[in-house]
Amino acid sequence: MSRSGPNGLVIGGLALILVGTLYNAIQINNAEQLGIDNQKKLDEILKNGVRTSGQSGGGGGFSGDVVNNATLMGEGCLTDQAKAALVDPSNILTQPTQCRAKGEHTRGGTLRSVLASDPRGLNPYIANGADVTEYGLLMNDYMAERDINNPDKWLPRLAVSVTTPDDGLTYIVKLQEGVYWHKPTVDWESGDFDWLKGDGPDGRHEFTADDYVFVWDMMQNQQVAGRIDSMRNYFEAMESFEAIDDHTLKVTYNERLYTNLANLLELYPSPRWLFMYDQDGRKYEEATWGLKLNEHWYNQKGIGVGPYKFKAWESGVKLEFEANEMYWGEPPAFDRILRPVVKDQNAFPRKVKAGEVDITSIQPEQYKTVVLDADGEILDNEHIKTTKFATLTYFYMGWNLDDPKFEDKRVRQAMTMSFDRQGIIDSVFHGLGTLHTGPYPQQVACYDKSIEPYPYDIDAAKALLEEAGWTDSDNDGIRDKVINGEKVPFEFTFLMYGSSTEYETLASIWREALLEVGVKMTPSPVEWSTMLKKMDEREFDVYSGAWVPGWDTDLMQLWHSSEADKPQSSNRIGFRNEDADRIAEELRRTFDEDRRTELCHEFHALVHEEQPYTFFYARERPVLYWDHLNEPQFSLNWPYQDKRYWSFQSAPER
Amino acid sequence: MQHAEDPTYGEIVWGQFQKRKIGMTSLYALLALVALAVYVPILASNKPFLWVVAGEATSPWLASLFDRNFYENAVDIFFNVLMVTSPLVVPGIIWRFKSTKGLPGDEKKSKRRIAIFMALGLIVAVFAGVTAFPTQSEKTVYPRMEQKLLDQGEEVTAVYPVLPYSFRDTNVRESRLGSSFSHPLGTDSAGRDVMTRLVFGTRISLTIGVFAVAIYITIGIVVGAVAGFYGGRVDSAIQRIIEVVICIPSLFLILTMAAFIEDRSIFHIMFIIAIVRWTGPARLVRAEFLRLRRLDFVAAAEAAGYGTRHIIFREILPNAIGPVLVSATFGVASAILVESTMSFLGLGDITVPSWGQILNSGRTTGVWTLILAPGFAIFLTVSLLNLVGEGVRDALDPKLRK
Repeated sequence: MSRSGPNGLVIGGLALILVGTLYNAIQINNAEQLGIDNQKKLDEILKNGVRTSGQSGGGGGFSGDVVNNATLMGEGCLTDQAKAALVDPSNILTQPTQCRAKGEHTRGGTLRSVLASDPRGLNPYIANGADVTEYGLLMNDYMAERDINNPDKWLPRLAVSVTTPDDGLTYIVKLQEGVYWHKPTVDWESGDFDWLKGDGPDGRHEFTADDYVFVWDMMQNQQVAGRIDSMRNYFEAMESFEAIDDHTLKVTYNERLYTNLANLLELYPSPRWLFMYDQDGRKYEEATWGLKLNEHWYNQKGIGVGPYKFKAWESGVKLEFEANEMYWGEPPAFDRILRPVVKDQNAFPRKVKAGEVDITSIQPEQYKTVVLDADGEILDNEHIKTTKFATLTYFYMGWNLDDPKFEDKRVRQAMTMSFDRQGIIDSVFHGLGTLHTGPYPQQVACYDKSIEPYPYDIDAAKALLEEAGWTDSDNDGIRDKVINGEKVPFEFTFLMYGSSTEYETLASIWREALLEVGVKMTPSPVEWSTMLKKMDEREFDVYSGAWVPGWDTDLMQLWHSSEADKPQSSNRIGFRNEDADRIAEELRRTFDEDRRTELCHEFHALVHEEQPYTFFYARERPVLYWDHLNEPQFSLNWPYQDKRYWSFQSAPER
Repeated sequence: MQHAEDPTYGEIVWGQFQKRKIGMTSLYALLALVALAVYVPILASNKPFLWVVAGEATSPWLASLFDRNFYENAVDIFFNVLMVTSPLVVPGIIWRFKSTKGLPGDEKKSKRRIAIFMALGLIVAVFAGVTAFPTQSEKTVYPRMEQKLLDQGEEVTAVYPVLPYSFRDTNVRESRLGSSFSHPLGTDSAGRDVMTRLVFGTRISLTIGVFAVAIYITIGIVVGAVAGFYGGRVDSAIQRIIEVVICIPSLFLILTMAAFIEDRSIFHIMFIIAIVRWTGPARLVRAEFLRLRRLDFVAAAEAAGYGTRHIIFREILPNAIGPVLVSATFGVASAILVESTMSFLGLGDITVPSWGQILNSGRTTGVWTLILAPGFAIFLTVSLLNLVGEGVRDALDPKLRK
């Protein structure tokens, strides 16, 4: 009876493991084989002198011309209108230091790069997520953009001139003329969408100042939820936003704040002629359009005035963009940008090796096995190159300051000292990062490089805890202290994201060191959604986090005490410090760069001393790419992988 | 009354089992594995057996055995209790079994039972003792301490086990070493010796297997017995519940439940496994009960006025237990696999060195020893359990008697 039941199950399980291992081995083997085959084909083509570059045809329908704009610095890539506007000395915008694709490059071809997960939507004002910003920049344009080489400077994009007649309370923005929206990606043949046609060439709509006023309207309408909801507090000081004529905007503020300008310039236009109408061309009613917009039929597609048009999005399969042939600015470097979805991060190097993608970022462990452990060529192919790029992101452990255990700054310093950060960066993250000490990214002037990180020192940590009153009074190896008349042992849980092996290892290392100090830590790896919930509700002793600051870091959101009592705020650790409040408020109103740096450094020293976070490291991210791509340039500012600055060196042979 | 020469049912089965070579060999190998699990601190620990500093001799190894700061997991403490009590328990039971060999059935049974109860009582008492009065001491990493003292010019004598490593102490400066004489299987990304973690993993895997199965077999027997004995509406109600549980894909259910539990420990994992697996034995027991319910001996027991509980558990159950035993042996193997799967997917208990945990770190780091070693350990254990299970099944089958 049931002879085959459980027996079959176990044997099935065994077989599954075996098959899994074999499959994995075969797949790796296949990938290698593919790589070798590709290499052979490539060699053959090179030997026979057949080149596809400059010809139409070839794998990706490649039609391109070799462009050299190495000398075209500065105004070479600006429109005439922008050039003329930059002459005005009161214009805040400046000359770009480089055109987008640098050096000698070939226009055309398909850039393929992996996509780890689908975005939540493509409307940048509705869908939340860092990835949406990246697609937004491909499809759309900001008013002005930070220079990729010098992020303190602003380059003209949709705005050709930005002036402020009364030094920061009013901004007059002159917009580029002759810019047309993409044609929406709909079934034009059916005739159901004729109502969407505009007056411009090929039924396009012209971009006007009203497309920005619509963004203001969305911000004013509390019904509109999603991304725009979290943007609202950045625009609290904005009083009015009006179109003077079709290409001029006037923006007024009720308070001069340092962050006003950046927040204004980094806005996308959004088309009123599309988002105010339902699928059949009926206009939404005045009372409910905000709610309707949240579920708008076009939110799963993308539209903009930018260099690439949205082409297709198949969830779990691919996201695809194509060049906007009527782009108003410098012509895009690629014909197509294809993002095939690959959910398993472990497969990324194999995808490059097999030639399925041109570029991918990789994990630290993969960097170790693929790059550091490679003898000679990476993945046995001379055409695969690697580079790494620094990011503004820093990682930290945030202490719950409302917990009496972590009230004392000496305790927090001791926690930091028992955490072998450098050792972990070297052994677990394979050197991909540098020790971090404060609330700013390391690349900006605000970050004080003279501040020494706390050393890894178990004895010093013990001494600090003794000093703070934590002693092992009952000789059980765990320190304790009488708090509110009750003896509390020093035990806490470490809330962390569960699916990261690096963090699992890190937790084990920290845990053992803490035990040596006399503190018992229990790691609690949880799902991302649980983690978010617990952080929002402050149900943690300490959590592992990462912060992606902008080029200008506004301290209010993270560090001001007024944020500490709000539910679900970013100051989830409950940091309350009068000096910190004073500096944060003053920084918002200080425009003088020297004074700003001074204040920043003061703040940095304060936070380092207080250690409300155990600052960990700022990471570098490694990438693998095929050398038919020019060495990719990475932006310091988000999005780091700004594909508009990439280009092919030669036509990829596929 | 049984005659002295008449073998009991247990003895018949055991005799049959002994005749099956593969089964016996596997059983011995499995016992060796259990012995490994019990005695592993003697093989691997970074606490020295003997530690002499400045003429003062201590045994940190001995002191660490019940140290809740070091052996944090109750499983380890339990196995250490087994280790400490085994010099008394094992010879005692063997002697008692030998000395009762020639006695008549009932007397033999009761004497042996008393011996087993005494042994279990001793183990439980010691375990309760060390759990109720836990020893905890400050953490000292002895190899490092030794180095420090030697550097200061002091004289230190330390005698370590063969593998002078701990399953938990990390060392970032020695991470990801390859195989060498001192680290037979290398080290993992936190610098822990893989061999040491692997042998300690035996404890975790065996415990999960045995306990999870014990839990779900108990649930299954009770539910199945009730369904089979009463039949009718009770039976159909229970059957519908079982069908609902079976309908849900078990791996999916396990993963969902694991995601909801915070601070997962291996005990949660055992319960999760038990919750999805109890339906199998429940159905087996029910079927047996439906068959046995109509036999004369049940009617006789009822006529004799025994209560329902007595009839179910003392009369019918002993006759129905055979198939359940077989499924239990296979169940242990599959529970070990489930735990490995969960750990592999990052849903296990990360503070214990389970095999699945090691396997998972091997997958992400690509260090081959981290994949092959636990893979082989799982394969070996599961195969042995299956072979033993097959032996028991054949031994229980009257048609296959040799």
